[in-house]
Amino acid sequence: MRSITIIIIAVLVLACASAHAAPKASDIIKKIDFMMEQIGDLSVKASLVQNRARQGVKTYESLYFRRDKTDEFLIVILAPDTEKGNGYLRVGENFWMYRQNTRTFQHISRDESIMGTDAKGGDFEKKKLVDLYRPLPGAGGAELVAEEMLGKKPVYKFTLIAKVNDVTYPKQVYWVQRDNFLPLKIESYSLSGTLMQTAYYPKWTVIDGKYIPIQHIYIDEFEKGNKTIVELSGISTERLDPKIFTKAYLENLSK
Amino acid sequence: MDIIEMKNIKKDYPLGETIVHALRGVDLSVEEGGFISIIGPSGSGKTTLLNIIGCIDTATEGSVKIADEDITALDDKKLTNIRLFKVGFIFQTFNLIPVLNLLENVEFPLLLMKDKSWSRTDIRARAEKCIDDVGLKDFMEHRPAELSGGQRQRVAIARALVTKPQIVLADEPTANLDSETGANILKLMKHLNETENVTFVFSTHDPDVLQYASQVIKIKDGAIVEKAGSERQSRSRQAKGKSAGRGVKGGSRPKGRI
Amino acid sequence: MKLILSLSLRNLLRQKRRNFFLGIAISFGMMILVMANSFSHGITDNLLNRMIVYMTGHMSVTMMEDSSQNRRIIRDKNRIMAIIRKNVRDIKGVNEAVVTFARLIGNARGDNTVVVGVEIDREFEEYLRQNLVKGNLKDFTAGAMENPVIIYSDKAKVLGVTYRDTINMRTRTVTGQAQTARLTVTAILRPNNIFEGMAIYLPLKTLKSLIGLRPHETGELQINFNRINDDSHAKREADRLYAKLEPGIAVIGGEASRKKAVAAATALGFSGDTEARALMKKRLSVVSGVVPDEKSEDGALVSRKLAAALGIRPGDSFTFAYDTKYGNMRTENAYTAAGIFTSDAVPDAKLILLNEKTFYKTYLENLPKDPVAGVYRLGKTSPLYALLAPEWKLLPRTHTNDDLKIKLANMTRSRWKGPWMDVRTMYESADFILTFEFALKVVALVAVLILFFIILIGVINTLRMTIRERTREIGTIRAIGMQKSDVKYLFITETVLLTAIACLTGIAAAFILMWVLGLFTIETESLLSILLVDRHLYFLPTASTILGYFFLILVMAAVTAYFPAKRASNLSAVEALRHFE
Repeated sequence: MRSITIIIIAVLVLACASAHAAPKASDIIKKIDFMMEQIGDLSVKASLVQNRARQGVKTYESLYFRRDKTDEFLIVILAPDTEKGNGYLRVGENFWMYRQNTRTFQHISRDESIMGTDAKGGDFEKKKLVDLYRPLPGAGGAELVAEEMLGKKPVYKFTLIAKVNDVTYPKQVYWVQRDNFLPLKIESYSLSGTLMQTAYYPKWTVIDGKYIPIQHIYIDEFEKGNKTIVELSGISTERLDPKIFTKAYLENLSK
Repeated sequence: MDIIEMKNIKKDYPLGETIVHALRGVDLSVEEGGFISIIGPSGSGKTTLLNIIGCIDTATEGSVKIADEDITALDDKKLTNIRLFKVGFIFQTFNLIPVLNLLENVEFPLLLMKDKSWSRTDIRARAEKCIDDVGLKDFMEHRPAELSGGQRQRVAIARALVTKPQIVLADEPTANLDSETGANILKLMKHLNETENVTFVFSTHDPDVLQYASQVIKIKDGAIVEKAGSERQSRSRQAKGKSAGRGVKGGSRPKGRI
Repeated sequence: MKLILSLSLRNLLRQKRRNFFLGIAISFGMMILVMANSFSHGITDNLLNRMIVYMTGHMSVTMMEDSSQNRRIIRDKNRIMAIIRKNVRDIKGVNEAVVTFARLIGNARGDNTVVVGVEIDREFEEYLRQNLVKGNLKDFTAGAMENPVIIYSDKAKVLGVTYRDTINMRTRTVTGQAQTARLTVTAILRPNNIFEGMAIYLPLKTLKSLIGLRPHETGELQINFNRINDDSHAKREADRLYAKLEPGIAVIGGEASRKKAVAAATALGFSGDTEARALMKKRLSVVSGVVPDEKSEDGALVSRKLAAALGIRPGDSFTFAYDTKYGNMRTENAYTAAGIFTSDAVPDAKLILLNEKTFYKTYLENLPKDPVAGVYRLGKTSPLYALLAPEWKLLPRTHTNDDLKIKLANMTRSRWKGPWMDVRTMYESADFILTFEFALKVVALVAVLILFFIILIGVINTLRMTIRERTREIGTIRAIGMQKSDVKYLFITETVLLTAIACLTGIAAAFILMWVLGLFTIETESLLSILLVDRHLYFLPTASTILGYFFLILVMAAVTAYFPAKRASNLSAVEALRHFE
């Protein structure tokens, strides 16, 4: 298996190199998908600082466990106190919200908001970028990839549009670092074409040869002044115990 | 024919822990058309006797027949009907209904009869005639409070007679009136006794009354002590061609005294 | 009887002062009762016939896709509307309810809102005219402005906008995509209650297109009755309609083609659940290839007849095209034949079987023309019926909000790909309002009955006093020959007569007071405002309830008077005559 992936990478790199030009956007997103898939199991502590105009700063902390192979994940909220012990569990098609005070699991749908944020249930499904988006074709039908500098880093810039009608943002613009295909900036647009959000992934770390963005900055472009910063710590890509992705585990955590 | 027949009537009242013997075995027969006076001191049993005759009270022992009907064991409803149809009452305190005017007071017993054969006009005519008979034709619309004592008692008499009863009972009808008015009332009763052929039984402790009575019954301590027919009465009856000695027969059988 | 009546009346008049005060108390009680009842009835009417009409409708038909409560799309609006109009009686109107939550950014700050799509009819126009503070209604109706909006004054104040200013709105389409729009304020309204103030209005057409509904689609259909008076009305009609909404098999009639070969074909969906799969194994035999799996995007099972006509073998791709019902379009999809089947149930049919995901994707997005001649149709008796995808699935009827929640949670869990249909009434969707209304009624009734209980104690007392005073009179009339029962009725009649007269007076007083109170305009934006109609107290007296209460109180009075009256009638005449005060 490992050898096959190496061959694929080699072919891809070779393809890019031989063309001596910018790679196709569709190849870049395949690459991004591939890198995300490589992560496999992941456990991480995430702190989320939400800056809202007129409402001040709110900090959330959570533990995040993910197991790609079986399409499972678990979020356990640590802070604020009002949410402490609550959690979200996804196993395949099933997505539950857990309320610690009532000790109940409730099914939630793909369209439901998570913790009152803009994130919705469907956003947490394991979906490949290629299944959701395709590159915006240029005038001649060719994919447009521009080579730019983002700060001091050379990047590819390209636009994706949604293939399906149920992704949150029907259009996204990507800035991807040229040498390692890490997305550094993503602009998201609404159906009518208004810029809604700019996301920055300025810091990446490499653990066991896998790239993980440890800082995400989300700027609300619609409601100016709103900003959310996510920082990851305690990252591990060790294989996770399957027991973690069970209702019982979540219940026991908050006992 | 005897309109009232009482045999061995006893009446006891409980009063605290003792028993009061109001009547101690009274035998009494009254012939139809009599004008009977019951006299005796206060508490002698006059009123009790009248109440039993009038079916508003029942005897503890003994039997009573009113117009040939044995009332001893009748229930309240039947007794009430006997009072309504066969007996008229005249009270010492007149007891008119204050919210009704004179005419209405007199009509009242007729209305209670709920007798279909009496039309509203018949009732009115009968009541008016009775009022006319007692001489109060001009006061028909007056309320009792607007009348003098004597006038009120006349109304009471009219009310007692309006249903054409066989017996009219009067308990001390003149006690609340001055002597002149009282005398007039008695005259009126006597007159009606004669013209309407109604038996009158009335109690009094006024000896003047005696002159009108066809029969006088003296009662003392719940027993009849003397029965006497008035000579005048007898004469007048003889003059009318009726048999002498008509009136009261009877005596006391003082049994069961304590 | 007449005698007793006239005697009672005169006796009442004899004790003028005492009975006057008692009468006042009773009539006051009756006045409060009538007013409380008219007020709560007014609220009921307001809630049932205005508020609920405004919020959820008396009854509604909802369709939800992807087993998500938020994806409310009725694809074939006209068809469902026709079924409603044909089968539901006493309809005042069937409205498209298109509502979405949104974030608004004005000049000052942001605020959340409920966006309601409106069609301007006469009633709404009248409402607008009455409550207009600023602006021009023509701007809203004329269609010259891009996204005209009507907002309430409180919202305008929060957002810091006024007539002709623009507001940025962020919302989601029915499928959950981010959407934005720039709205222009065309009118500012004065809110009648706090609920209203939360909403903003966009033309229905505009809102539908913003949230991704096409003209033949809608969010939900709300049904309002001419007037709801009895409780079961909406439930009854909902049950009737429910029975008529039995779905058929979803069918797409079109043409399949591969290379130059073309053949008329029918596309059907097959259910992915284990039961249907088992049935499929029994009823179909796959002669070559396999059944496409549940997650396949383009895999198809082709009947042997069709495969033969087009020369399809497993793994071959082919196209399937059909005309849409709306928009006059032709849809073309490419599929890959995963397998070829035969079935004794449909030996000659040219069929394409798609998994539910693939089938509904095209079926719902591009609704096919109603099946015409040549399209293969399956009756309910067909052995394949149970395994084929229906036009929709009906959620069971529920009667309370709790049951509705459970039902919807179960639906969410089902993950079914096709549309769910739900018929609900205000008893499920607006039960909090109905509970509120019921509680209000009960509180009013209990309070008033307590009042009457106290008053009736007064009645008993008065009656006892009267009987005591008139004991000798009772003795007299009993001696004269009045029956016991008549004595009893005499006193009961007196009480009932007093009560009746007082109640009638109370009713008259209530009407006068309600009229006077209705004259005042009350300016409040508190929760109390939901009790008002157009800023006025709203009383709705009904003859039946007033008569009902009237007789109830007479009966209460009669019952109360019965016992003292009976005691009076049982007095011995002798005793009574002997009685001196």
